[in-house]
Parts: sequence; C-alpha cells; structure tokens
Amino acid sequence: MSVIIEAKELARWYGEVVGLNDLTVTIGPGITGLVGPNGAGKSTFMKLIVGEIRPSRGSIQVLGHVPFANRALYAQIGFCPQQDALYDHMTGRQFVASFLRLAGFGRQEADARAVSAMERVHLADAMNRKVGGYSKGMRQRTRLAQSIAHDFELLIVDEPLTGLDPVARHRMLELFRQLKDEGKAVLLSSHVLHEVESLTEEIVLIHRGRLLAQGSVREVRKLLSHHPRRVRMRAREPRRLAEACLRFDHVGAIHLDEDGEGIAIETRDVGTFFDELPLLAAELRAGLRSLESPDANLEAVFDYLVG
Amino acid sequence: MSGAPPIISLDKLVKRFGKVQALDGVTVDVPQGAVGLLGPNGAGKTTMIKLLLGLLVPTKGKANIAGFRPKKRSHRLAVRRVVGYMPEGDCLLPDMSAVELVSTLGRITGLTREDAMTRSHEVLDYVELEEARYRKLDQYSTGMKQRLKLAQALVHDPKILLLDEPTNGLDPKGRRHMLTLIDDLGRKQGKNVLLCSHLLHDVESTCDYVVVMNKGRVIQQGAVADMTGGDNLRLVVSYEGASEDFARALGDAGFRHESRGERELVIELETAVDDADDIFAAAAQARIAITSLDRVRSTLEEVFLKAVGEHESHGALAPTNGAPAKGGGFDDGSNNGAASA
Amino acid sequence: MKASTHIEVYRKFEGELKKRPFRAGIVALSGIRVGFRRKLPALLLYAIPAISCIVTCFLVNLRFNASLGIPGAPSGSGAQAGALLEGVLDVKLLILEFVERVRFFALLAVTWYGAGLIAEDRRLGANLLYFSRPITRFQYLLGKFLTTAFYGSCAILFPCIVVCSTAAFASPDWLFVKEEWDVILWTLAYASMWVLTLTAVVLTVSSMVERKTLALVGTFALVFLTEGASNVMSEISNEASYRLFSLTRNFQRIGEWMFGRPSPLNWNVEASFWVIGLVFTGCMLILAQRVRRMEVVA
Repeated sequence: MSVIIEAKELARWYGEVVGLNDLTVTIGPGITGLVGPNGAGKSTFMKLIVGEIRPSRGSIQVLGHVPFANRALYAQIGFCPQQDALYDHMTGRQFVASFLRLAGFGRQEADARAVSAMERVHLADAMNRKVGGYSKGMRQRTRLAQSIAHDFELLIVDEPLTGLDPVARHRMLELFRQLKDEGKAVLLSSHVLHEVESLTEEIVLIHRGRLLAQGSVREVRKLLSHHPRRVRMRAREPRRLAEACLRFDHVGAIHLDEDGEGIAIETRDVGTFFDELPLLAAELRAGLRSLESPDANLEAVFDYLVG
Repeated sequence: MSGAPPIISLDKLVKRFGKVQALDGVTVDVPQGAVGLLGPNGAGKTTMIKLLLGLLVPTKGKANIAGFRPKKRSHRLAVRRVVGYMPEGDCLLPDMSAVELVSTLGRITGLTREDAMTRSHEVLDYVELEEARYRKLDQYSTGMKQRLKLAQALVHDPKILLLDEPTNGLDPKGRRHMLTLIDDLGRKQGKNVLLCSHLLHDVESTCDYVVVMNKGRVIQQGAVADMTGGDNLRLVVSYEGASEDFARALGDAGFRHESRGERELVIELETAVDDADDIFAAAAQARIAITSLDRVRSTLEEVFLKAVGEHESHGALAPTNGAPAKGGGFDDGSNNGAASA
Repeated sequence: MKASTHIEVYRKFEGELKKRPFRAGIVALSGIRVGFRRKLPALLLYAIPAISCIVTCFLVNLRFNASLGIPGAPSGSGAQAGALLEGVLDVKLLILEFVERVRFFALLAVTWYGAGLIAEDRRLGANLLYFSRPITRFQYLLGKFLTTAFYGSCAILFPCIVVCSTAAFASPDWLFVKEEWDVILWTLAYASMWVLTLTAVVLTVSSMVERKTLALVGTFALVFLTEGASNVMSEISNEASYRLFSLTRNFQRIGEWMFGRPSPLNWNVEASFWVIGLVFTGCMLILAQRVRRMEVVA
C-alpha cells in the first residue's frame, strides 16, 4: 500500500495551546475519515498537511514531500477549509477560474475547468450568478469546486457537509466516492459519523491533539476488548434463546426487552458467538428473526474512545 | 397515535410572497408526538414554521394549531404561548447570561418573575448547563449554545416544540446529547416535537412520524416505521466465511438469493415466514458465521431521496442493488461499483 | 439509546401564564441590565454629567444660602426679598447652563447604548427569540425605546430633576417653585424632548444597519453632517434659516424660546417644533416598518 501522508511525532502548538501533540500516523490512498470532537486538532492537522503552517516538532511528508511552503506540492493538493471565504462580487464560475489562473492555468483552460468543476458540484445552473446571492450550501459547494478544479492527487476537506440539505449531502458523498474511483486520495473530516462510515472504513480518530485510533473501524473495534460487544436479536421465544446463550461462557450478560421479543447479550468473544450461533439457532428453533450488533460501528467506537 | 386528534392540521394552505408561491396548497394532519419535517432547501419548511408561530398569515386555506387559527390576529399571538421555538442560527445576545436570557424570555411569554426564575433553572438543569449558566454567552461552545436555545424554547413548558436544525454544528458527543433530549421530550415528556433537520439519521432516531415537503407541497407523510418498515419477503444477511459454501447451502435449502457486495447477500422468500431459523441452519451446515440479519429496510434517507425525485441512492449504510440510476451527472456508470469497492 | 439521569429532571409547569405582562418593561429591564454590565463606558459617559450635576446642586445651594444670610431662617424684609429674587434668577441661569452642558453627553449615551439594540438583534437573529413569543411589535419597540431613553435620561433628565429638586428644597419658603415653576417645567420638558428625539433617531439608524459600530458611526454622521452642512449653507447664503436642518440648532432655538432668551436663530420657534415633530414621526414610521420586517420576514 502506497503512503499518501506520513506523520511522525508531529506536534504543533499555538503558544502554549496545543493544536496537535505527538501524532504518528500513516494515511494511504482512498477515502480516510478524520474524526474527533470539536477542538481535537483536526483543522490543525489539515493545515499541516497542506503546508499552511509549520510543525513545532516532528515531521510530515505528503506524497513524498515536505509540505511547508512547498508550492510544487500545493498544486497536487486540493484543500477545502471550513472558513466561508468567498468573493461576493464574483460569479461562482469567475471565482473558481480566478484561483486556477493564480495556479498558472491559461484563461481558456481555467474557464473550462471552472465550468466542469461547478458541474461536478451540481452548480451548473447557478455558476453565472454572483456568489453574494448564493445560499450557505451553495457557497460551501463553490469552495469545494474551487478545491477540485485542478489536477490534484490528494483532496483535504474540512467538514464539507455542514449545513447542506439531504439532497446536496447525498450528491457530495457521491462526488467523494467518484473521486476515489478516479484514484484520488481523500481525507475528510466530519462530525456526522454514519456518513463518514458510509464512505469509508478507514478512520483516524484524534482527541485533544492526540491520536486515539487509526485503521478500519472493524479492526479498531476489535482492539477495544475491555468493552464487551453487544448483540441484539429478536426471536419468537427469547427466553429459550437466552437460556441457551447463557451456556456460552463468553456471554456475560443477557437482557430481555419488555416487548417479549427482543434480547440483548454482551459477549467478550463476538467471533465465537457468531460462529456458534447458527448451530444453536438451528437446533433450538426459537424463532430467531433478526440479529444486529449495535456497538460495532464508528459511533460506538467514538463513544468508547472519547467518552 | 391514530386515536389522538392531530395537534396541527392544515387544509389547502397557500402562502404567497408577491409572485413567489412559498406554500402551494399544503394539506397535512400532524399527529401528536415527535414528528420530523423534511425537505430540501427552499421546500417551504421555513414558511411553514413561521406560519405555525403566527409570524405569517396564510394567503388562503385553513390552519389549526393546537386549537388556534392563525388567521385571527388574537390567535396569532396566543398560539405562541403554546409553542416553543428553537431557531436555527446563532441568535443569542453575547452580553447576557443563560439564566438572564431564559428568564427574560420566559417573562415575556407571561411567567411571573418567580416562576420565570424557577423554570429557568429547571430547564437549564434539564439541558445540563451547570455553572456555565451564570457566565456570559460569548464564552459558550456551540454545544452549549444549542442546549441553551433548547432551554429557552422549553421555559414556558409549551405543548408544541419547533426545533430548527438542533444538531447543526455539533460534534458527535454534543449531537448525541441533543438527540437524547429530543427523544426524551417527544417520547417521554409528551411534547409535540416538530423537528426540522437535514440529518435524516437524527430524524429517524427521534421521530415516529415524518412529513416530507418539496416545492411548497407535502409530498409524503407517514409513520417512520411504515416508511422504513422493510420487506417481509426479503432478508439481508451479513456473514463471514466462504461465500460459495454458504450459497450452496442456501440453494440446497431452497432459498433464492443474490449477493450484494462483499460478505452480504439478500435472500428472497417465497412466502413470508416468521423466523430465519432455516437460514441459520443452512449457515450452520456450511460453517458460516452470520454477523447480522434483518428484513431489507430502507433508510429514511432513501425514502426521502426517492420522494423528492433524487435518483435511487445506494444508501448511507445499506447498499441496495440493481436499481438503475435515473439521473445524469454524478452516477454515470459508477453507481454501484463505489460502495462495494 | 443510552439511559441518562436527566429524564427525571424535567418537571412540568403547573402555574398559569399571565395574560398581559408588561412585556415592553421586561424587554427594557433586560436591556438596561445588559448595558450597565460594562462599567467603563458607563463611567466615561456619566462621570461628567454626574459631577456637573453635583457641582450645580452645590452652587444652587450656595446661592440661596448666601442670599439668605442665615440658612434656614425665613425672612420678610424687602432687601432680603430682592436678594432672594436675584438668587432665584441666578439659579435659573445655572440650570440653563447645566442643561446646555450635559446635552452632548445625553447624545453620547443614547447613541452608545441605543446603537446596538436593534442592529445586534438583527445581526444575530435574536428577533426570532422575541417574536416567537407573544410580544407585539409595538411592545418590542417600546421596550427598546424605554431602554435607550433610560440611558439618555441618566445623562440629562435625571440630573435635571435632581438640580431642580435641590433648587426647590434649598429655596426658602418654596420660593423657587412658586416664582419659577415654569423653569422646572421647561427644563424637564426640554430634557425629555431631547432624549426622546435622540432615541428615535438612534433606534432608526440601528434598525437599518446590522452592526452596532455601523449604527454608532451612522448616528454621529447624521447629526454632525446635518449640523456641518447647515452651518456651511447658512454661512454662505448669510441666511440663518438653513440651520433648520440641524437637529441641535432646532433644540437650541427651542431652548432659547422656552427660557425666554434672545436667539441668534431668527426663525419662528414653531418651525423648529415642526422639524422635530417631522423627524420624530419619520423615525417612528421607519421603525414601524423595519420592526415589521423583523417579525414577518426575519
């Protein structure tokens, strides 16, 4: 697996305030979700990646280069920060094109690229109108268009979905999937964990400037062995099922719902449980009709790690 | 839910601003309990909220909000005594403290000075704003501001709560807290919550009923359970183990099935059966571990996107298979490949 | 969903809502409390009016006592009565001077405290918090008006009341009240008019912009530009009546008329009343329309 971003003992302080502390992380291609509470250091990390700020300590390499004040590298990165900074007097198309001109594209090329970027974010209808009249969601998408208009290999997006309506959210998620299929690497931060999870398994979780977890959600969850896994089932005869489950010595607790159908168990070894359950269900014939793991997702991982 | 009279009932409601038709004949009965109001931007949700608050007078049609008719001027003010509103934006005056803000707004609604103080602390306790309630609001985090906005909407203990994007800008922890509060208000405290949110996942987890608007009309409404209820002839199964073995075992047991992505398949049933014991038996035979099993359900997001005419989604969490993309643009060719890659 | 303890914390409200609370008063009270939270501006704005109020009171007291000879003893002799009347006249002048002096501070106070009241509500969207409650536009506006007028009154009206009271109490045999009741009346009327007009102007500017600083700048620009322009015009054309455009000149004219002093501003005083009336009415109309938009369109 090739390495897109590699940070070693990366730290950045603002005076005495910590932005990022001792972060060692490797990010590969594809989509990676950067998650953490407010003030965790996500934006600091992103600024370090694009070379907007210099690390206080440690090192970072992006696409094999040191990013700080590296203009050549900057051309390979698309960056969409959170701040709503747009020129209201320009049209969306002009705005995107003006950045491309700054990056060295010719007038015609810049315009053509601006048009196609605006189309990709579904703003083709509005691209000839002044940015000042755009809604919040449209401004957000214009900024995204600006960050994907050039030939980049890595896209960094900070909370790209905030304030977007469901249709726009859906389209943006599609756009990220599509970029990934085109072979781009995407690092995106979001507070809406299930949306991150719908895009990617790979996450980097930071909290108070520290790395708390990296890797796929599934693997990370396995590492949290001190939190027994919960499994929820529904069955026609939940009591018989519960009785049978009690015989597994990895099952720690069983809870029966009041509706007379639901049963929740806690197990220290969910792998074995899933291995053994089919035979148990087949023999018991207790009418098992559904099975799910409510705490196997990113939301649960986040909850357990951040609290 | 079916027995109780609707808390809000609108009949062919029209609202025009000059030439713009913001509401174009809205007919809806909003049941008691927690209800989600959904729609893309510009669907008319904001106009609807303003009408419910008595801030606007309908151009045509009838409206009944908890027994009040906003066409009458006296009712327009009176309706605000039974409605609590949590606005979307950052609307808090920075020089006030939380207690001051909540009690002032409570007194404007009609609480006596003593009641206003009691209620302010009551609701601030409820949203878990601790000592911070005495501090000035300019030091508040987004999460605290959102909770304070909820508290001020609750101070006069209204029957109806209008919540506009209450989870906007919150981090996961703050969002979960807010959702717990909304869930509690709607399901345990007997408030009639009308929740507007772009995060359909949040609506799904807190509301029992949704109303979907688009272009000034109500295009779909119903119980969340019915909309996402799922198909009792199709089951979706995630598993671990050799897929060929599982497929063979299922085939032997007489199940038609198709694979949907890695380690996931959909089983079609001939007749609705009450349990999946036979599927577990097939898995046991093939030494397969089943990690999840349920009816094929749509998420609220899929229901919503379909309703507003956006092309079939391949979903937030559960990819649906085989639906051809209707729209152009995004989905050319790459619709189904992305999710499983 | 995780079970949490706050579920039991919510208690229903069993009492009754008042049908007609004095909502404007509640808005005003909260505005006043918020404004006085910052100590420095209050100190800067009110220190000089307060000091000059105290000094004037002291001087008033001194005049009466001096003219009386022995403090507190009433007297009927002719010479003393003459001195007394002189003292009363002196006091009248003192009061006039005082009003002239603190007028500017009232302008500062009203502008400083009133500028943000509506503008900041608009910028932050706080109007939605108010208008989602059973408050009418009139009550809201009245609340903001009372807030601003209170701050203005602190600089001019209340000190005037104090000075006049001092004069009344210090003068022997309530002589000041008996002889110069009209001075008291005019002083208070003048102060109130000044405060109310300024309040209307400041709130109007505040309702048209979205920032406190803009409203501050806007108000001062309005007052000083009209003042400056009218000065220039009248200098050029040698025609005093151009000064009718200036708010402060109109008040000067009215003041001089009220206290029966000769005025260099040679127009009929009724014109000044008309101008101020027009400004006030205009402001109210604009305010009504702006506040309507805050409720309805928001």
